[in-house]
Amino acid sequence: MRYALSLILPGLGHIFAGFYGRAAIFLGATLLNGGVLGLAVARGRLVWLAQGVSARMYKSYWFSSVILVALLGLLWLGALWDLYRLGRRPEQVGQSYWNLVGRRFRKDPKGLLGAGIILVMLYLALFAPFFARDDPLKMDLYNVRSPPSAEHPFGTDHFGRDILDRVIYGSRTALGIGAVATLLNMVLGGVLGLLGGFYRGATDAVIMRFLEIINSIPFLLFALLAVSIFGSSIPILIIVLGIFGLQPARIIRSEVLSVREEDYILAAKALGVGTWRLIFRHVFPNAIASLLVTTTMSIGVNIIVVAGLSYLGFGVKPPTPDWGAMLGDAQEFFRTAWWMAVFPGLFIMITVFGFNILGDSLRDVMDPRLK
Amino acid sequence: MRKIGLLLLAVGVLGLLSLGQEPRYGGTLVIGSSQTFKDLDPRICNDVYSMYVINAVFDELLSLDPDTLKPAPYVAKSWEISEDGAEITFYLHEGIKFHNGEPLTAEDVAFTFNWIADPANASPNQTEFEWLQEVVVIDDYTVKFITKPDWAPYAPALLGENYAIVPKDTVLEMGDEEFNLNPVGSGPFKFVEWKRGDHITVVRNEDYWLTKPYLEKIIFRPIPNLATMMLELETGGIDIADNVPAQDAKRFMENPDLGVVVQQIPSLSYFYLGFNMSKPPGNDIRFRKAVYMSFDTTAAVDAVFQNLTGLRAYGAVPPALWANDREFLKTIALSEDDEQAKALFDELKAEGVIPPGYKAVIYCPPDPRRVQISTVVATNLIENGIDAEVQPLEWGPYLDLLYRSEEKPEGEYDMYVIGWSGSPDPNAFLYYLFTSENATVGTANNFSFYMNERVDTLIKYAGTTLDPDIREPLYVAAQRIIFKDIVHIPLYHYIETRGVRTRVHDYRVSPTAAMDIVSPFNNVWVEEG
Amino acid sequence: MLAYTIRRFLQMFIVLFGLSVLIFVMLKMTPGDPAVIMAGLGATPETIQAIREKLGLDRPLPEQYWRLISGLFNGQIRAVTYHTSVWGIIFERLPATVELGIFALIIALLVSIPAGLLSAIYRNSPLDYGVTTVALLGISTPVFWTALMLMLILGVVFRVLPISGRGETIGVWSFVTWDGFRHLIIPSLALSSVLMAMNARLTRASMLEVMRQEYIKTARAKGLREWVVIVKHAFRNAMAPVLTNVGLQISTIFAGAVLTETTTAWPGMGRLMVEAINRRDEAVVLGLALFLAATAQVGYLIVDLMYAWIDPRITYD
Repeated sequence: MRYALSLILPGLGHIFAGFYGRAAIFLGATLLNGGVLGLAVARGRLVWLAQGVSARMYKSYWFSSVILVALLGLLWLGALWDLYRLGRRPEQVGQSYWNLVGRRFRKDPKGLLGAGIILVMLYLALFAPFFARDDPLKMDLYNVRSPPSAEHPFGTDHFGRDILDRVIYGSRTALGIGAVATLLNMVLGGVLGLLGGFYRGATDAVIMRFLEIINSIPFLLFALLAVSIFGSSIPILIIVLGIFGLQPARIIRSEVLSVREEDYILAAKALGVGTWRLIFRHVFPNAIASLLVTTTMSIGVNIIVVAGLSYLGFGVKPPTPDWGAMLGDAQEFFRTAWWMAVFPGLFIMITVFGFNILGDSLRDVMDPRLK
Repeated sequence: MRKIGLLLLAVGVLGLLSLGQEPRYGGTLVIGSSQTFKDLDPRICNDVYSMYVINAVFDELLSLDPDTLKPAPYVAKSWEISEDGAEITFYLHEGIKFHNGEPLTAEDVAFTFNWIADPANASPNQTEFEWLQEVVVIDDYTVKFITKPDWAPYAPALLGENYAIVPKDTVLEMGDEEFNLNPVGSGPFKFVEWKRGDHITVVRNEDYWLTKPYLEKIIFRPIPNLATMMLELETGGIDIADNVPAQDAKRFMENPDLGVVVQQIPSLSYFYLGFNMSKPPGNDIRFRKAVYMSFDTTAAVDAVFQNLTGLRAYGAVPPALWANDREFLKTIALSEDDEQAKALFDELKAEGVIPPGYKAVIYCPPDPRRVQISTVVATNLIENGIDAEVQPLEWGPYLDLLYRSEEKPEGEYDMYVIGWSGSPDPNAFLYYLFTSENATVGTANNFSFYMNERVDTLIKYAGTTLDPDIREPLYVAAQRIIFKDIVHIPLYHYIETRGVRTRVHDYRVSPTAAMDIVSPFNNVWVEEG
Repeated sequence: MLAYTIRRFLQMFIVLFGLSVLIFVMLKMTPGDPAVIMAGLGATPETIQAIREKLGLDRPLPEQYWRLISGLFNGQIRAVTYHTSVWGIIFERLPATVELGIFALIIALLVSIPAGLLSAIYRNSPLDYGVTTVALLGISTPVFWTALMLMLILGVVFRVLPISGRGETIGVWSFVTWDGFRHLIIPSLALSSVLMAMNARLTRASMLEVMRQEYIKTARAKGLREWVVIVKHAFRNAMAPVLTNVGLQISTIFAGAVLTETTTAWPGMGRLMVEAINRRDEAVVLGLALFLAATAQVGYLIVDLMYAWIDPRITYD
């Protein structure tokens, strides 16, 4: 019965089974995504409904539509699986470290606010074409720098482009660069940290010196050089940021070093268990808390850095919508068209703020000493 | 729009006259420059910003009459051009002294120009003296410029090039680098100090030969950020801003109580979008046509310059000069027609002239105006089915991109936005930008590599005479061919726009972007405070 | 400890060597032949060739590298586009940036330590949230924007401060003059906004850490008054990591300085760096990179040594 209900709407099954907390989460998620779907359908922007769109917008619609459908699918399956799991071993649920963290997190208003902000921005980025009212590149040269109005809630920029739409699409660039660069930090840093901690000796020394070189180069000098060599494309920005934020390497390395000496590892080794397996089993769970905190914060930092590069003229190329570039362009008009600066500026601030308070809160709730 | 520019200028001048105050001696003038200063040695200085300081510290051989745009006497009190144009003789003012007491003689003039023209010295200004064979000293106050044989006919046109004169003995004694840091000239102001990145100070030359400068001191401040510069201008932190963006110009005009007069004059400049005609797709006229028809040039120029600081261009020769043929060229300019542009692009794609997955990159310098215009073009190309983006490049890499070497004889660009400013003669625009002599590997200003024998002949033949009645139809004919071929999409002529605080008097913006504080035509003074 | 320090210095040289090679390679990969750039628009091949020879750009790369590096050490190499020696131009710009950085840091510490302290003492109170929010907004606003707003408010609306530049009297001690000091306020306030947040959060975290320690509990149990506990016992111990961390902020300060200096027309090294890269003045770029890296390295070393000095349990071998 609960499965049938869950098939109708994720979360209904949970209510039936008495897991109200989880029910609320599933129902909320369904409602949110359903709302996005409704908006997309109402605007005729779901790719299968859209007609007469240019190839470029079609691609954008397609991306968002597929993501939305995939998300909804996941939600349905997830609810079923969760119910199944709850039904099998209800006694285990709510006992792990992660459940503890989750409970603590739910009580922390900072973290919830941060997560909320990020969720909103994430949705804006993923479903930009559903939220935006028009093509963010569309210019109206006869209606430049018009102040906020009913037609253009955030006003228009120096080309008569709608700032609201550009801000919505700009979230893609900001979050995309921020997130992918941070992912690169994790992968590169993770590999270096593992190698260094695991082999020690010469390998470690070389890796540590390399990290020191990277750490001591003035970042902007490196970034400006790299951008003048390869041009200021988004992949280049991501690579530059990816190389520079290698803090994960240190975290993982120290974790590997300390785990190596633990008694249970030595015991396991004596039993002939592969060292690599041990490392993966024990290092990552231990390191994940600090990694998560660093990552969250570094996405925020990366967004700010890209804004700074755009300001110096080394950022995202026009006409791609980007908050930093918008803010840079707006500077010249800041006495005559405040709306050009205020809105992208607010979005940068709110997003970075969101990542920072989430990181802050994660540090608090994941600290194992704070029981 | 041009009318607007001239009107504003008139208003500015009237504003200055109507005050009717007596000039006074003393006071400090602070000038804001939108770029950092690089060189103070006039022989190697090739940026207009450092020229502000050089204009104050040095004297030029000739000056430019701001009304007629014709060469006028300065250090040279008169000159003669030989019948065949091969020799120009200058007669110098006597009794001019450099700031260290060294007299200015024909020796110094010869030294200055021979040094620039010698390729071994690697002066960036050498290109502009390609025509110069040698400068010969006749006597202490007479000097003769001898042109290279091929160049003889151009000599009169070349008179527009102004270069300041350096003291030979002092330079030899100090060495080039030291002189660049501590320049000694004969101009109205003496160099005092150069606090790099912050300011340059010059003080009045009490013994100036031409007249006694009213100002006691001038401070030149580089302020790279335009928004900051506007704040400084508004609060009186600086008295003159060398660049005022259109929206701020409007604000100052609408609020006279801010105490800033906006002075404008159409400059002798031409900004354009060029195609690389050495390879596809730029060498196909249908492509050039389709790009032209993809966007509304007038609307783009109006939006970027707000009908204030830029004038839509139809041809290369600025409307302030003769032979501009503006009215006719207007009739052959293409207007936006997306349907036809799309059809042409589809045709080119089908033929493979535009390869699949082609991305049109529009290169431009980091100047916000050109980035903005390029952005309009790129956006419209995207809308017409050609993926496009704008790549702003710093001047260094940009010049390198446009520079053709043996390794990249075809160039690695398809479209570029750049500008050209020249001396007040149509030849300065047409010869450099469109003749095949300027399209060779190694050196080029004709970055499009446009090569058309008829155009070459017309322009070269027009250069062989001084008679404007003969030259004009030739230049007109050449331009009609060029712009029917759509070598460039003409974008705009910049209107030089400067912000001047009301306490400053007798300042006049120049169409050549110079910063004349004391010259044969003016002597700036400031009110107290 | 001495052996450790010596070893660190040796390592530092290895790091600097690696860095110099890296930067050199990047400079050589950068499109834009320095000779073409210096020659300017439409230069003849002869001019370009002459400049190339003058700068030794026609030589093989290892030779060019050696020329640059040895030139940097013996002071022979010239900053071509500045007409002086490389160190001459770097040290000319250094005081402005140091002055800016130190003032920004002082302002940041003056504001952030009390703020961090308060939010640690009143943990999870509205005061804590308020301080955290303001601090985070500080990091979340791009520094060039903060600078612009400060100029507008203090310079235009209230007209109490000059907007940009470093004033007329310039030298190493520019800030002791009234004029120099007034010019310093806006840039250093802007730059401090970045550092403030970082230090406030660090103070807060460090205080919370210390307050959990046994000796604080002991002190409380002894019946000492709360403020005595906080000021005498907790605060002093909590400051150590905050102050030592300053050494690690050198890179951040410099990155912020690049943007601040551009906006406020401050004649420091940050602008020199952007300028030198645009002018392809290879010697200056390399010199600056090495100088800044060496500074950062020394900063890290000092931090490590200070940790050992403060906390006798830490030893280096």
